[in-house]
Amino acid sequence: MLSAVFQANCGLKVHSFSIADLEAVLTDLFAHGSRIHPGIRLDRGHFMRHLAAQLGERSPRQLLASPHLADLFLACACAHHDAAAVQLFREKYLAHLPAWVRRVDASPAFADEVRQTVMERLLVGPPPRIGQYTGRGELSHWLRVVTLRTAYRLSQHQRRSREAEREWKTEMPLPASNPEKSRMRSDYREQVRSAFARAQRQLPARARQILRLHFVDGVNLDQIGKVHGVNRSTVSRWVASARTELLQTMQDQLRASLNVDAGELDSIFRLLGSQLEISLGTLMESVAG
Amino acid sequence: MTDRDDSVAPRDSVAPHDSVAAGCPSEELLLSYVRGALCLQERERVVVHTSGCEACRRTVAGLLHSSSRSSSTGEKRRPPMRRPSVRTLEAGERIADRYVIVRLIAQGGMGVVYEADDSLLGEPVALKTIANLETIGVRRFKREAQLARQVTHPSVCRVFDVGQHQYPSGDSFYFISMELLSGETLRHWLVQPTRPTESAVIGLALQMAQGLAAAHQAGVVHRDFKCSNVLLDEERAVIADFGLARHHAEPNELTVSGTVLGTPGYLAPEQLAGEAVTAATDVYAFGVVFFRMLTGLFPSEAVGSLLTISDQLAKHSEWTPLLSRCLARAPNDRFKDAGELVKAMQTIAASSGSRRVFPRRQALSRSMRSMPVVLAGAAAVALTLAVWSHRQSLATEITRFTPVVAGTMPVTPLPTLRLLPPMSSVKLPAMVPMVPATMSVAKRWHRRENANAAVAPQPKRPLSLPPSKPTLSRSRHPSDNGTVDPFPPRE
Repeated sequence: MLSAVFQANCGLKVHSFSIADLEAVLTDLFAHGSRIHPGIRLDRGHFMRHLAAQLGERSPRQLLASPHLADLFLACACAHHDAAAVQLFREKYLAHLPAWVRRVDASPAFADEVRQTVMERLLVGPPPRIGQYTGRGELSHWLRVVTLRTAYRLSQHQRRSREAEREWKTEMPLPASNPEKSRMRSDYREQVRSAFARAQRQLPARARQILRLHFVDGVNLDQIGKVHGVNRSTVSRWVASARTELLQTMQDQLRASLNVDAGELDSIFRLLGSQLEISLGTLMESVAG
Repeated sequence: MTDRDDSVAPRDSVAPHDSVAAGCPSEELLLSYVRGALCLQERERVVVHTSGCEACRRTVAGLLHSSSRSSSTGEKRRPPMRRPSVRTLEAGERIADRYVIVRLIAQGGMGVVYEADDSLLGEPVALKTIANLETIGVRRFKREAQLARQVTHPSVCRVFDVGQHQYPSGDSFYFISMELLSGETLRHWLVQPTRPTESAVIGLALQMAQGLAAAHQAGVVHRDFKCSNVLLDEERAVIADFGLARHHAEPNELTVSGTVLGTPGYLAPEQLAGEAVTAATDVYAFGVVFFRMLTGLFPSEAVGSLLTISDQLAKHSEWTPLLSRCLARAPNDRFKDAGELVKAMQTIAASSGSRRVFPRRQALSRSMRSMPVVLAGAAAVALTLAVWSHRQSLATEITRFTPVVAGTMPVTPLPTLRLLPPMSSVKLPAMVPMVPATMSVAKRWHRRENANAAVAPQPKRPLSLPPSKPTLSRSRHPSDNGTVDPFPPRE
């Protein structure tokens, strides 16, 4: 009895079905999955337990009406190491991986490494992480997030180990076109850096996130607005005020930490103000927040 | 994660690919965030986390970058949209020495539509300028106008003229003058808070089918029939924007082979495959629109979720065979053109005698008005007897899953799946599911869930009928909408 397995694994939530109906629906679901993926051999009990485990806060009715049950079927089969399922997953889904990670690092070696890591993580386990796919969206979208995140982590990791090797040598990314600036660079670099880092940390989370998304990752204001359900102009205001706040906090920090007279401070601030426009992105990227 | 310590943690102390151990949000949470589909609380959680965790933030950025492109699967990118070659026209501007711009009505991917005064005839018209004529081509634009002019039907937006406006600088642009329509699009009408009654839906659908039939008779295929291309002027449904129309007897020389024109969700399988587009393609798109009007869902949203399909169509079982024929995968299995479709619709409308299926008198098309409806119905019955026998085999298959009320679940999902190709074989641009449309789907879900919960203890009522909605019999009552129905239900 499929319904017995299903019910045993998802508690009391199934009262809206009669036993006979549930049995019929579950049988259909399984048949639907096997029809879409004919080569895959999956134990019915496994699939039922898997389905029940993916309920989350959804009702069984919601889950059973999900349009991504065939994806769920495939994911379940992959989690149970079905050879045909794994092959399908590799051929159909992982084929797009190089294109997905091209933005992070275009080299084939990097794509290979990401692929290896993703496959290890999703298909080997224990337990295979592909089992965490709940069928709320398309499997390919889910996989894309896994891939991107893995890729960014890997590249971060690689960058960090490279940096650790050759000490910290990078210059403060302020251009030095005149003597005044170059003096400021050499004299106050570390102070400005740490003031910037602290100022960043003191920003509200949303301001910090939006500034980075915009200046470091180059996401445009429209897209940020869409995510937050607001107009582009609202985002633009957020960005402007976050920038002002950042600069203000930074000045306060410097005023406290630098032991210089008011005139000197003013000139530093003036410079900072003009330079910040240009180098905010670079600064945010290089200075840990 | 709020501050420094947390934001540093995932970078240094955690294995490079271990997202869960780092307390990072789940993949689904990030996806929903990017789609703007999270509630405030969850969104705050993601924002706070991504303000510190670089990998997650960059993942979000990566998803956002790709959602603004055509494809997230890394297939060929669509060339960037060209900047409109026509600047926006100001109110009061005089175009081609004849039309005076009144206001901008709408701006779309294909062009800009203005309300204008025809100073020659003293009548208001709609002017459509084409934004990126280089990609469409002057020839195609002219042909569009030529073709559309051949179609005169109350349910098809009339095209008057095509013209060219020359600036003193030598720049010029083409425009079409069309019938000016007031009212909202069908798309907006469908998302109104109360669901339209079935009689209203079927009345409008019939008008649209008749409009398409008139176009097909003139040899014009719309190619991009969809809810936002239908305007509701009073109670008249008018098909607008034959923007992608093409004379179907002509060779497909003006569209680059392999390019797909049209709107995802409404595209017939042959359009997706880049094959020949015929009148049957419009029949498919009509099926999608009709399905949406009846159920509020795209067929593609319902496919694979057998509960949804059977739930939704249980209320409209008499239309199920027609819909399944419209949405048949092979063009040959559909109605040949909209003319055939109209006949079939009229037969069904006439046979489901207890329901008022025709629109009000003033909303009837001219051809319908000139003919007694009963006679039309009888003639249609006679005409479609042959069609009927042909469809019998189909109908018997369908009946296996139609009688769905809470308590009886379909034994086999096979017929439902036959409505559409399996999702795995349909390659929609991956951008489509990324758009915030998911939000409205989620809302509908919510509504349907509530409805189901409310109805579940009473097994004989249709699953998806919310308790607050007026039932069909109520809405047919004249006192309900405050007007006396000039066209009482035929019993």
